[in-house]
Amino acid sequence: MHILTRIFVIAALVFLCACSDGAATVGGKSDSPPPIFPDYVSVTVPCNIAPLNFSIRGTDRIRAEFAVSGSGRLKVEGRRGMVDIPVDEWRGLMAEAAGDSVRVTVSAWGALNPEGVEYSPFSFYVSRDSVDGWLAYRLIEPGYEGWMQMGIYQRDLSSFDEKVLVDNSVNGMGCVNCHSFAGYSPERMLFHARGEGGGTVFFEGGGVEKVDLAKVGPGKQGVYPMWSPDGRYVAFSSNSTFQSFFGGHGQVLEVYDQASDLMVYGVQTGEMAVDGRFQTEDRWETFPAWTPDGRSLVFCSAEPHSMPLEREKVHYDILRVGFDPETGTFGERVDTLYNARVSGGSASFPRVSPDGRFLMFARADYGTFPIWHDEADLAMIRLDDGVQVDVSALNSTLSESCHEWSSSGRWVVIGSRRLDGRYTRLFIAHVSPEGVCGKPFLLPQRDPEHNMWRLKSYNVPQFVRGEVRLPQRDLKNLFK
Amino acid sequence: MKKIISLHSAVLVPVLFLFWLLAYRNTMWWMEGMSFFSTLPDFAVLQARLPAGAVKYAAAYLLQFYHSAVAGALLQTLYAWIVMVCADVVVWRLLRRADLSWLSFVPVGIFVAIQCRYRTVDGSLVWCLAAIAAAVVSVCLTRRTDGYVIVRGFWRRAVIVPLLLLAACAAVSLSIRENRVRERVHRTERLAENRDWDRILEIVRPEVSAEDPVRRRYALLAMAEKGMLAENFLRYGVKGSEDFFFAGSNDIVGCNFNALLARSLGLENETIHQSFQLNSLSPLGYSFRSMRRITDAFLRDGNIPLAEKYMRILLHSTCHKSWVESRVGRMIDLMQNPVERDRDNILTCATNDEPLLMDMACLYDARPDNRMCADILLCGLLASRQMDRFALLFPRVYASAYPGRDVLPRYYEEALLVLSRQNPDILDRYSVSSFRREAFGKFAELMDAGRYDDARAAYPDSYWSYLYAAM
Repeated sequence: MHILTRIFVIAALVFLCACSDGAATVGGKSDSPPPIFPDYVSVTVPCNIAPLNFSIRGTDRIRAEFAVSGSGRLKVEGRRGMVDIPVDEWRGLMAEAAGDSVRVTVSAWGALNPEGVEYSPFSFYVSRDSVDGWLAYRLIEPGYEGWMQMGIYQRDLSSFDEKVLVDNSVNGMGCVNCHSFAGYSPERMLFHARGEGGGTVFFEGGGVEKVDLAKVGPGKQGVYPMWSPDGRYVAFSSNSTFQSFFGGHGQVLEVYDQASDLMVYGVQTGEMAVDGRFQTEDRWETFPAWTPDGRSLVFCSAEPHSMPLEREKVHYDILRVGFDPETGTFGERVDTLYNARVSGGSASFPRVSPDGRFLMFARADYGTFPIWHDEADLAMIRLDDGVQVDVSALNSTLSESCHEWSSSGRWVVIGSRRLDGRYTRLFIAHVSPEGVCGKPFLLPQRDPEHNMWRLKSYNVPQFVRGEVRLPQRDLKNLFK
Repeated sequence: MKKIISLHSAVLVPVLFLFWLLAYRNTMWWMEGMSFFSTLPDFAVLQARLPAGAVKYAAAYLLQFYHSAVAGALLQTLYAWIVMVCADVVVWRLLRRADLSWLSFVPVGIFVAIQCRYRTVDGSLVWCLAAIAAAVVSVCLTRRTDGYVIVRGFWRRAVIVPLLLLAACAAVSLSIRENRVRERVHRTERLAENRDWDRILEIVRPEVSAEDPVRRRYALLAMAEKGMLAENFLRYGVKGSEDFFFAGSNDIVGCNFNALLARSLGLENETIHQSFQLNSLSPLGYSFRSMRRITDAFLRDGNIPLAEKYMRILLHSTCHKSWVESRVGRMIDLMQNPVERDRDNILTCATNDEPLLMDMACLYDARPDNRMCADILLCGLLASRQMDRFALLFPRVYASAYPGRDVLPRYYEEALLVLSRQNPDILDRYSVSSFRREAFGKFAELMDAGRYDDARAAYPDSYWSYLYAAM
């Protein structure tokens, strides 16, 4: 037989085997749900999410049957212990299941179960609340000092497409960080590019512009940004940030500030608004965030201490101050939303829900950077009455830190190190109008193991309503 | 033509293979360690986005095989062979004279001389591509000939001249000091990586150490590992506490050493920190050396999820299956007997004027039973002439590391004798040999008589000479 003919015959046989319609029989049943990774058991997912591919380690062949309202809708067979759900069929399933539960029956065959085992079915709920179509985040080595490559990426949440928004090949392998979008718009974005010729890059109206914030107003570099919902202002903190390393077996490092202030940049005027109260050395202010009406800023504030030796004495409160967008001035009154001395811990990353009712933040034992604190968890306050809301469903024994609300306020994305303690991965959780949080689910990937071997850590996740289309050539020209 | 290529190959392949294997064995080891290859999309996509990504990716694939010196030498020879074959074709096509066939060894010789300076194989691949392109162009632009006519003297020219050219280029390569120093440093690094401390002390003798600040650090580390630091360190040309590590280092040599020092001290987080730094300094943003070291650090630390992660990452390369398999037993052991570690947050990487002393003091506070740390701290204090702090710390170290010892290390005895000038009681608390007491008495007599140079000449390696060097 000609060699090509042989290859064709073998390929056809392989194809037929791969396409066989669940002909394999199952040898036994298990009372427990399948040990799938990621854990999608009893989660709530948006109706426009990408397929929830999963794997069972130690198995070879795997079969998943998805049923809605008692009738089977989708059957997927996989090899190498992984279920790879076709995107089109998944979308059909999601459309049908919106507002209902999907019951999944999983059978698996492997070295331990050569005859096959059918696990007890599990369910996940498909919410009618869709989530913003895209998610932007930075990918960077987990902490430490140096890097070679880093970048800001965007991910289509309804598929597995991940695209580079900007990486540090544009600025000579410098640092690119701290992106922010105005009102979840893909047409208004900023990020910092550090290093020689660096600055803050504003993308607006289809064009890009680089601004050196150190030459505006008080002459301070902007660090943590938050673009106001109407796009007229960007609140920045200006931080002198350092990090100390620990050599032993415990915490890896501590990131801390030795000074930080607040300032607000007028995008249209090019002027920097500052207030003497937030420019003193008596307090450190950081992590500014707008309320949805753009008329108040919430931020973290702490009494300074000698760092890093007194790091455990630094506890950040969350304060709120009014802001008049017409005059670009701060209000007189400053409210304390979270008093660390009373409630304990130290607050970071305050974020107000789009309906203005809830304030979610990260809480560690001390300090400003919960990402390296295993004990860090997310916490939430109801702004009406200041009562803390139970969000323990979002938390794990390892660090939960950077988080962001979706534009509808029905979803939050959180950065968590629960998988291995060192690499931040993104989880999405449903939040009911009453502030009840569902079990978070790991950002789906085509190959679930991608979450395990991805070489970089996720950072600053931000929902975006659509795909961001940065003018790449203009962007490169900014740094020439 | 085939005869010429066969003849030239017979000359070039064994010579270059042996040259690489014997002269640059450790450089090839280093090249593999600083490279990285993976089929993981994150890595492949990243390389594709960087300039010259395809060549770098191909080079990274080939460098994996340099883990074996024989394979590395063969590949290094292969690149030169490709250049030679292409040059043979060009010479054949353009000149058509058998007596000038040796000319093909001119570009080969230049390539070999330059090849020794490359720290990766990107440049070699570019040479090969350029040579192939030149050969293709020459074939396309010239008519086919019937082949060489063997003329008188051909064999001499086809064998001896190429041999002489190769020998000259090899000599040029070896005459470049940077190449020799690099090979020696990489040899020491390799021995340290494999914890072959005895061998390091064999090759980095005191006189070598005095002249070579990089290898001096390795010698000091080897002595610290062997518990011989306080007995010998001043003989190795130490000039201050900064000689024990690379403070605030942001280069490959420094980060690599600092990672090994941290490993020796049991500072697993710091080992990983320095290895990450080494990663970011490597040409591809990751390096096999760092990845292997990080994996082992997590295994020692009992961190199963992260050890497994890095083992899985390494399995996406071509040559690490057996390396990973060799760690599986440890992994299984950890799963059956999890390691509970104290969460000791020991500050490292101090940025003050005395980073070594600060780091070692923090470590010693947390782990007073760490004899190696205690020795480095005490010797660091002696090297920085801080006798008061030595006097404060020594009793603690003595109680934990040298309880009831009849004989103290040389430099501790000598420091105690210096301290005894102001506080004679100190000699009642610690055992100092009579031999050392006598010697110090003589040294003190000379110094008191103002014969400083004579005193130092009589006791050249002593701590006293070091301490009073400025007098």
